[in-house]
Amino acid sequence: MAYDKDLSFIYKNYTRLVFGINSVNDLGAEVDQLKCSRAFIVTDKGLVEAGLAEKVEKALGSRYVGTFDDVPQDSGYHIVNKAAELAREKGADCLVSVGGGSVIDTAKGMAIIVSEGGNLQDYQGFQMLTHPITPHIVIPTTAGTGSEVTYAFVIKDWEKNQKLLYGDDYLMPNTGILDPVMTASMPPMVTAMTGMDALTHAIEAIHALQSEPISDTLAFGAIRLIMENLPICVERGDDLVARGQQQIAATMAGIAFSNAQVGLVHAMAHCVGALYKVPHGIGNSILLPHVMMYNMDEAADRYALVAEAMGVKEKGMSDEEAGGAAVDAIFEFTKKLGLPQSLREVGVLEEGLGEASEMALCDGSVVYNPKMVFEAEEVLGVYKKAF
Amino acid sequence: MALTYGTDEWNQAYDALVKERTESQSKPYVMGTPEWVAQYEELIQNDAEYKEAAKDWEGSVVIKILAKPEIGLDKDLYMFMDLWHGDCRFVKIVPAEVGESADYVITGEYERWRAVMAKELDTIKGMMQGKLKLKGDLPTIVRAVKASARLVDLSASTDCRFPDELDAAGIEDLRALLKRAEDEFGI
Repeated sequence: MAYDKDLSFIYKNYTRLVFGINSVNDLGAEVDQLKCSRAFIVTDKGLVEAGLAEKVEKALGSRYVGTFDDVPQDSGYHIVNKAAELAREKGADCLVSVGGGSVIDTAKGMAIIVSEGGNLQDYQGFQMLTHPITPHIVIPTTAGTGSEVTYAFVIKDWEKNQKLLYGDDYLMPNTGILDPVMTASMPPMVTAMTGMDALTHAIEAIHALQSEPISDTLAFGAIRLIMENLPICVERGDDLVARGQQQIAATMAGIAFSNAQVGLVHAMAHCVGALYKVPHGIGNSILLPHVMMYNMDEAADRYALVAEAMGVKEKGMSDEEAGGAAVDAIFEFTKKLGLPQSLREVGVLEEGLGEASEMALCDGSVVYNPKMVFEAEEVLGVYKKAF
Repeated sequence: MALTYGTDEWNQAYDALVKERTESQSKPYVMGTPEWVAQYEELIQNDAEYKEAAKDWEGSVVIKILAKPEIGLDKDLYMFMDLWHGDCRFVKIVPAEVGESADYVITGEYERWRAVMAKELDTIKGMMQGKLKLKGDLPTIVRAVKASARLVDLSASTDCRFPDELDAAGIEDLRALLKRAEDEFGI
């Protein structure tokens, strides 16, 4: 596999990872490791009802100072500002997020405000922070976002109905605790869609323009683990070994894309998410093979490697043939997982595809797609195929 | 006592400085000096490709070059570009408080900007990698990728000398010029 002769990159991964069944019990020691003593939990009502927040509270013991459990899907500025104010009132010196993407993103926003003050709106920009912020430990309850190792978060401005992207190396959580027990109660559909989010991260990291050998290696490893373990997780959610492997895969894919970036799949999925509330993992799952086909003339050699990792590359195949095999395998895989196959099935309206295409060109991910995309018409073509 | 930015007096004095420097300095001009900035402004204003690519663009953009005393940049330098729907109203070196108030402020070390001008670093990718910092809305900048690429092309096409290529006397001249700009214009 060839890289450009002038390859240059900065590889970043600052997150300490703790893995294992019941590793959530290490939380107290991890807080101490950060030289903190007043931990504040960020979570949602569903996880409180499921008893997972209580588990975390117990693990913190005397270090626990309070909880904010009102994080909705598509968390907003007002949520982050309110939760941060509460954490400050409680004298928190570190945050522990327990949940999926929205909860973790809320805590990332809070981590800025708790230490720096003001409102989240004051910090809009990219790579604007100048020093470390409030320490943040992530305990994911899904296995897909990779948020426990990424440098970005998305927050919604509910007044303007806009999703805003924040990115900064200082946003990378200090610690991620990967405990398969915390993901075991995920229903099959949520398991499948978040798992496909992880697979999309891995494949996009491989075709993204900033791909490099370290992120590629993590992405290949993630693909192999996902192909093997995600179907088991969907079928038998109580299989903690498969759950654990899927968690590790999601984290590996998270590190991979945090370094290599993602491309057009994410740009397009963000837009149908914003306009039609299509869950991010489902948007990615539907769009991934269509974007791969669109990119094929520029990225067949990369997709041949994806096919290899998926175990569908046969001897003697050309790059295009192997890339095509990878695309077919993804369609097959998502069908097997019981996921929707078209945008039409998940509430997207055909008349909204034009607006989504225009929006996609404003998404930061688009600049890393292996095939340069400048015109909304090109994006619309892909949306129509996925419709 | 420096003149107040935005007044007729400030603008006239700044234009006079550019005229004086343009006539007295031999080309290629040093990157970041008022005469180089004026040359760059003229290139943008006369570029049809930029006008077309930026026809929907609204908002001022500041290129902030962080201080590097060893090459004569004792303070951060703010290059303010007033851009509106394909028009480049002006490009000027401005005081820090004016620069910081622009709609978009892109900040980076001198070496990063040099890499941008050499087309070794893409501005948007640089922001996402943390090599450049952006104050403002990233999606808006991303949508203007063609316009931003054209601005980089134009900066690269200016025949210029870079401060790190200057000899000791040249660096002292640059330092003296920027000190004068600080005293007279608050830059």
